[in-house]
Amino acid sequence: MNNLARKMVAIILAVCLAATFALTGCGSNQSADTSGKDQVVKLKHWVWLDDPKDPTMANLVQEFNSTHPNIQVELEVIPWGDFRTRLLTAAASGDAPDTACFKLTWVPEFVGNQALEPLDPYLKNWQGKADIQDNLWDVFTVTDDKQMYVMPWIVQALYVYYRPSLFQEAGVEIPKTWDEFLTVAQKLTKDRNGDGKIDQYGFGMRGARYGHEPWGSFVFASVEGNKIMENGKAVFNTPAARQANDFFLDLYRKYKVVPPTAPADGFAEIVNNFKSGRTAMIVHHIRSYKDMEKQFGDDVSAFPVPAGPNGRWTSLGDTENVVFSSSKQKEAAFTFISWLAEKDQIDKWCRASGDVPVAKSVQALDFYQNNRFMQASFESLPFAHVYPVTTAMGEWIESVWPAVTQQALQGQITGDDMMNQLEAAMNKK
Amino acid sequence: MKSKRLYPYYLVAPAVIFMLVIVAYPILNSFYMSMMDYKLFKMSSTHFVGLQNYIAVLQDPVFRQSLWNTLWWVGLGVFLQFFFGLILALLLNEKFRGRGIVRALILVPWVTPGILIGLMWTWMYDGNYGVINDVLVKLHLLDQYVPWLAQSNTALLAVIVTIVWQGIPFFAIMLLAGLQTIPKELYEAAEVDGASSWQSFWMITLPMLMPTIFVTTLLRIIWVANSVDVIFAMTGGGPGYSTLTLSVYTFVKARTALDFGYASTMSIYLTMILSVVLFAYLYQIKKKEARLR
Repeated sequence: MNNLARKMVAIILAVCLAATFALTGCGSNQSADTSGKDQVVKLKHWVWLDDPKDPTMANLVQEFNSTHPNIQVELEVIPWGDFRTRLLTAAASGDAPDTACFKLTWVPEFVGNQALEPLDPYLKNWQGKADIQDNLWDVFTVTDDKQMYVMPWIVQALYVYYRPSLFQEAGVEIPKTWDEFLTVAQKLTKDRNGDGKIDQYGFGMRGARYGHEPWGSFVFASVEGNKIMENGKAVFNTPAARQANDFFLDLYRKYKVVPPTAPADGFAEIVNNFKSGRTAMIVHHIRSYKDMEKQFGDDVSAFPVPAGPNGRWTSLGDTENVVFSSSKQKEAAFTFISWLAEKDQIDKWCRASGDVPVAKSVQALDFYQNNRFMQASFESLPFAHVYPVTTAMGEWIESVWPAVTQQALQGQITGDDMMNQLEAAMNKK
Repeated sequence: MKSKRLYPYYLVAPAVIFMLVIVAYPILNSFYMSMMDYKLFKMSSTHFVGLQNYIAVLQDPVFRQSLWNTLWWVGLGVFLQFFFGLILALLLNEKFRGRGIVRALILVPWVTPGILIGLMWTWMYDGNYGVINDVLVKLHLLDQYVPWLAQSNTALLAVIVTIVWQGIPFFAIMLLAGLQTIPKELYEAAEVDGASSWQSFWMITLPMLMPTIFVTTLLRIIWVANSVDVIFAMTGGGPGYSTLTLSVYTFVKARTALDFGYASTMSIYLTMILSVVLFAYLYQIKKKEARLR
């Protein structure tokens, strides 16, 4: 509402201003067309910040501006909840910024609107290219035209957080396979205060939005080649995957090693349950580790997700930077986003935010090598994948997956129905 | 002569233009979008599809479930708001110490933003630590904690309770205003005739209050049917589709599927359903005006 009011005021002011110019005949045509060498190029960069008080990004931009006097970047912070829609509407109406933080899953919808600039011509001459984690260039090529539209920046791989003291107490080891995982979870599910009611559960299942990421580790580890989609068709709905899906559902339906609130549990709930000791394991990425360490000190650690019959699969979280095709200063825009992806800048950002660096030279630094959560992330990166990147996935992730999973958990539909619906929704054109 | 005849139109022109921009344009635009294949991620291939969206929506099982949920959400939700609002209004109409303060305080739920109410109640309902579970277990009404918002058979009822909590003050204040317009003489006359208080409630209070009840209920039906915030904050429409109302589904379709054509079509259907309520409302106002004349 506030925004609307501000917009209205802006419009009214703009109209008044235009009227003034029209009346005084001051509508000048002289200001444009002075693109000489010394001209200072102005760029607009959009970001979202998980912690709006964190000054790291602003400091980086300031540093860039002082080291690149010919390019001045103006930072605009947009709330995460609105980011994608704001960016889409801005791009559709031609008001896109020059550069922005970006998620890989958004690529098709923006490329479909011809809003993104392919980066391959610029990348050819970029010095830092060899320093980026090798498999990322493949993972990030997601469109049919095989062009790179994003500049890698930071990643997060999902792994399992656990409480060593609870493991010791139950006499269990870190599980290597999903079958071992179930045994461990069963031993960790118990009544601690002796009132006859379970008050500690083995695993914090996420049944609400974005639970598809940990779910994928259960199911895709049973799919041959861990393939989700091939040639534009979903291929994950195999008999083995359906069995793995039933295994996942049974953690709630049959074995009851997850809290009864699981179908509605989102990020806040699983983290709170873990932090209060109600669950002994949850799946999340590096972004939670500072918070966890604050709570438990040494009594929290991490291991990569267990393996299924076809190895391991974990979900890769990502943030990249992009250049918009509507930008009039593409060279400068690329200079800025490639500068962000250089060693020092990545290091500064990752130390502050706790993200996993994509630059190999940064990964090798002591700070990252001595951090057990970074280690779990590095171990997970080789089998970390992104979900298919298509226009149907927005709805699939945000509303289809939670709805059908919640129905299946409660027994309103079978596990096979769930898999069929997920397949159909992924194939939707 | 001519300019004199036009003069009144000049005077109302700003209001008319304002209404056209603020009301007519969005409605016409929704109609337009509902006839198009209008997806935000495929702007370049937006094209006319006629009634295709309208047919697709009717065949959508999720739409039918959300329609059914909307009936419960509006029917039960508004009725309970009215019921408790009426009781509260009758209480507040009595004289007691601190009545002014109480009248002001009961407005608190009404002025609290829906998102905040949703978050507040989500934690109260929480299946692991929620205060509602805690109290019910301590009173031995429950054996163990119930995950209210994680079960399809309790989630809809749980969100209805929340909207009822939010809406009671509105009914209470509106009905209280209505109560205060009832002439005291009627009650005195009834007392002289030997009517019990129950009889005077049924024969005087309720009939005299009827126009207020009618208008307030209709307004609230429209608002509750259109409200998204409380449900979206509490369950996002889940678990499954058990708390998905038409307006929440429309919001989700526009926001996550970015399918504006489909979402517009659903909002047109909702508008059509609510129009029935609206016509009843306008009819009532007209009747009231006729009586005043």
